[in-house]
Amino acid sequence: MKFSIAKSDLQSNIQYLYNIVPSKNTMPILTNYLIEADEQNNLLKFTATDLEITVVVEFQAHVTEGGKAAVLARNLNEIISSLPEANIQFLIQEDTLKIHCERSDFNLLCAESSQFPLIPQKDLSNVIDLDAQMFKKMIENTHFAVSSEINRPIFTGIYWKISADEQLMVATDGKKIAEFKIINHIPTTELVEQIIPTKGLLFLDKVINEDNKTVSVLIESNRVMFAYGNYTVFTHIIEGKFPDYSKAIPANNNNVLVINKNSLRDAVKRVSLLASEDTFKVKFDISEEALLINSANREEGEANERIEDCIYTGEPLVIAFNYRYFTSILAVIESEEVEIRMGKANEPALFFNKEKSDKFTARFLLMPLRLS
Amino acid sequence: MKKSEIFALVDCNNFYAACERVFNPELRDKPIGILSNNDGIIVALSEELKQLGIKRGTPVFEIRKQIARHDIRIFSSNYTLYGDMSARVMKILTFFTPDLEIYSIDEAFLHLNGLRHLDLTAYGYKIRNSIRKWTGLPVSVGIGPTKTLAKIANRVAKKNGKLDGVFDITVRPDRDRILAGIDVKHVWGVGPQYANLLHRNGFHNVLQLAEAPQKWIKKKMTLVGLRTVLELRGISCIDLEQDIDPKKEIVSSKSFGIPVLSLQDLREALNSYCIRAVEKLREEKQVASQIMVYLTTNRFKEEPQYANFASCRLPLPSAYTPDFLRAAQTILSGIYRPGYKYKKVGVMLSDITHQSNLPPDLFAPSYLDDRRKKIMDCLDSINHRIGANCITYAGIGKARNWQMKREMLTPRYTTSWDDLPLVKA
Repeated sequence: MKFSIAKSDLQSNIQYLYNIVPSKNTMPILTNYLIEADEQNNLLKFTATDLEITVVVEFQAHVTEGGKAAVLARNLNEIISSLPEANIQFLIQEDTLKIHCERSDFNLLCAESSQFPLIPQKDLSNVIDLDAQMFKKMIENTHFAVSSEINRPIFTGIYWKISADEQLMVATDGKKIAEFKIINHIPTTELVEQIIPTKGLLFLDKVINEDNKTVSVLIESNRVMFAYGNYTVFTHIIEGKFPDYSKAIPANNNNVLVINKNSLRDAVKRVSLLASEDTFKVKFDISEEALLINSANREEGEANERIEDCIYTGEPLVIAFNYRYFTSILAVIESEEVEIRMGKANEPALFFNKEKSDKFTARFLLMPLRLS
Repeated sequence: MKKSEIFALVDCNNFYAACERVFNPELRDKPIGILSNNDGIIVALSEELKQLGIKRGTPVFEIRKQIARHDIRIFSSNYTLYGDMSARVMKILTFFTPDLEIYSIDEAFLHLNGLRHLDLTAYGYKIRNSIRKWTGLPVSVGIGPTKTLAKIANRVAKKNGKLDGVFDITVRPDRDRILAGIDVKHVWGVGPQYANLLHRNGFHNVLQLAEAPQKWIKKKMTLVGLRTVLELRGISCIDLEQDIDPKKEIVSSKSFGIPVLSLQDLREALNSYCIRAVEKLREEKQVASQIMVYLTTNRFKEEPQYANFASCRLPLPSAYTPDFLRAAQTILSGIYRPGYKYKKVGVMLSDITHQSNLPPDLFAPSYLDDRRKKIMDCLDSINHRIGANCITYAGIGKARNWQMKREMLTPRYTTSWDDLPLVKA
């Protein structure tokens, strides 16, 4: 195998690939990239996998001799980053990948490429084409609400439902829910409902840009393939039934606060400086006169902020939230003002964009913390 | 940081030995030693035994001759009795102030701010006499403007027989002289390492430590050391309970009285320790999300050795005993290997948080909001009223061959009908 490529071209194509390489694994081969060079088409193919998610990136290079090699991903990334902006030459000799760039030479030992797991074939025959920017928006509006608790695996992925006229993504960890729905017209007759692991979706979120308008999706029984530009992502599907989250969404939250999103977020961030590091609790004392935000930490002191520039209709209310969750929701609110609909102090609160869009609807739910 | 506080420290004198004496008057003035789990070493001594030059931690076999010569009375540790007597003392203390912090099985801090108009020394005697009369236990009472000085006052009360068990350092004009007479190693919060450091740097007595430069103390003994020094100067920095960090872990484990081979016996022992650990969790109004189980053979014996541990997380934080029993048994099944003589099995609960901080969950009822809490409250209340383990889980077995050695155990005078002391007239 022998090829050469400009450092910037190589780096831009594989920059996010390292996120897929598992940091801890009992299979050492997975810490490698599989590099395949196609002499006829002058094409390079880099693959990384953690067995659950496989990402393949294909791009042009000057290939003078085809072949295949498995190379330690961390070493290769570090070497490429350290090299000057110039053309890099790669050559496989026996079990060594020789890398040459201007005055630098590296000899990198290769792993046995035949041990690399089998890569699924890219199949574009029955794909559904989706608007890439809206797909990215759906991921960005929901991924922050997934759980990291491996005990509840269905909460570690994003629930995705596609029908002919709408798409829905929902994520929850039992303490918050993010729901994002778009109206579209997809030539599909069957309803698709799956729970997709976040890792693969976050990879797509990173690589989706203005250059390509479409993400192609092929949903199989236990796997989904996403094809976007140079990238093909294969991800497994999380098995299990996503809970009927709509039952948790209250219908009669009549205490409504409308407030500038940025001033609320900044105030909460300031007050949270003295919030408990165990509970992240910030208290909101809301009445028609003002919103008082407060945190207290017996060891360090307390913080208060009063905001009068807001509109509140409803009963006076004292309610507490985990400020990290609270600000994570404010971070995805797009309109200038956020509308927060609350019930009682122990009932979930709902967050909306004040200005509605005709392309999507988004709503977010947050459970309050116990007051005492 | 606050000023003008008044604290009292009430400490039971030679608590374990005193509990044994309450129900056996024959033990009066006799040297008494209480043994560790499995009757190995002496862990608690009466004043008379201390005067014979015997130290805490002495293996009982080393003093066989002295036991006979001095009529030393040796007992297995009777934690059921000590726990119940402790609860009685603490209950009495609540009659004297609502602001009470139980610091250990035989010590409690009392906040006496609202009583500064009274003669606090007389109040101390009232506390001491009430406890003596109602439980038969002797206590010492130290009163001071900070918790650290209250501890020192308690030490003075205990060591100086003329004071008759009560000492109020707040009313003493000669406080400096008293502090100058006490080694820094006796200060609350100064461990052996810090005591050595202070001695090396010329701070030998408590007065010298109280006058030590703040900057030096903060650098060498951190903020915690500085708080101690400020407390010695009479500036209260440690509120009631504030100094006690919530438990990060709860461990329950004991060595077996005899080597255990069978998985069934290990299961029973593990259940027993697990039940106790979760009880402790509830006593502190906490919930836990993680459980670890470990087991080991006796590394001091020339026989095949094996030790292992594993842990698992609960879906949601809990203090419901069956949640932990199920998890513990699953873990044990995974790490148990047949053919070894096991010496110990244990359980550790971690990722602990106070119940008030338990976040509600949208899809599963939290421990606080469903019947699990009601069941546990009911169980704890029955066991508290009628006696420890009056109701327990069948999984701890009946034979309990694995239980620790306690050959010199006194009766459970206060918690078992069968063990009630008989009075003959």
